[in-house]
Amino acid sequence: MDKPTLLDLPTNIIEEIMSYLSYEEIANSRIVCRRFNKINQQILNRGFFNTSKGVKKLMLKIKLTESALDKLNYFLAFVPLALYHTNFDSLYKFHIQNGTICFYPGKLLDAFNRYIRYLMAAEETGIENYAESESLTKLFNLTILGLKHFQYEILPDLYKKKELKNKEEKILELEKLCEIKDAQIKNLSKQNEKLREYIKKNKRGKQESKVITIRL
Amino acid sequence: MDIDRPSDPQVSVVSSDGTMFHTTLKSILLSGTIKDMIEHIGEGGVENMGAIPLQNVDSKTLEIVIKWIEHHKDNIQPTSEEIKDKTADFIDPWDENFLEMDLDKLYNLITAANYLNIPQLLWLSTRKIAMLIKNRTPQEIRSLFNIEDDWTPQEIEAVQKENQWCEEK
Repeated sequence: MDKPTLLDLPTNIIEEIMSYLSYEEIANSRIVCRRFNKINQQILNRGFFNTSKGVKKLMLKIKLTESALDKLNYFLAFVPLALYHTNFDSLYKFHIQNGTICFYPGKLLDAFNRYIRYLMAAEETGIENYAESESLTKLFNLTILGLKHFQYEILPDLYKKKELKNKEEKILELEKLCEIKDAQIKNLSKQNEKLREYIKKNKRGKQESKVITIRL
Repeated sequence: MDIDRPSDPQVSVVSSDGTMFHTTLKSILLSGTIKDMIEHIGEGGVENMGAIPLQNVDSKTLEIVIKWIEHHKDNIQPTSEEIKDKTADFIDPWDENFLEMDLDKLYNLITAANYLNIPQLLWLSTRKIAMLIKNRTPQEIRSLFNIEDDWTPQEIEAVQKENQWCEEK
């Protein structure tokens, strides 16, 4: 009897196991095998959409409490959320929904979720100085790294893949066209033959009828 | 007579390979699956109820499950929502000790806890596996869990490239 392995467990249980890990660890363990990759990609994408929701909610909340913050603090607290919203939410979302990539930078999800929690707590206990918060600097660095890598390493590949796919699609289309034309030609030649046979028959018929009249 | 009726009547369960186990109603009610079943037939029917067959649990696993539910029968079980909220909470040393078993047994225990719907046990056992994955490299995870590397070199390169995003150059 084969020994059971972790992969024999149903997908929902493996997802349950992964839920105790950080998004960074989930992203890193994608490499283990295809099944891990498939499950973890879905968890990362779900995490991305949930974080997007959290960011949007917080942006609205900060707008509402603007008067309670001094301007610099307000600006600093708001910028990472705006960065996330304008860059990740629009850039990645398109490709994720296309199914070409998953939201692979798990560490960013961890950082943003921590930041969201931090802002929520800060709002309850009173506003601190965001500029001095360590998580803010880390968040900026990570965001910039993530954006740079996506723009220079991942996007070009995606475009190449897209071009290749387009070319392949065009070739397929042409091949299909050729097939249709071939079929049409075959059809035409068949019709041609039928016509010829018909003409031949008719000629013979005429000749036979001629013969008959001569005999009479 | 009600006076003679024990407060915690005995219940029998039978494993998939035909072994019968005796436990008490209080313990077995920790299983959501069996609780639903007993609620369906009514508490009064418990005494006349025969042994409950558990088609998906073998005797070795059932023995482990019963040991756990009997230990925890008097504890208040947290709901699934409460379990989800706490991530790295305190774990009872008894449970920590209880989960020291080889992986095959652990997989069977997870499957049984899932089938019997015992949220706390499912939480403990899946968390145990998660702790084994934590802080290990993909290669270490593969050899620990006996997982085959089924990637092509190009595919793995693509995933690695994505994961390199936060490495400082």
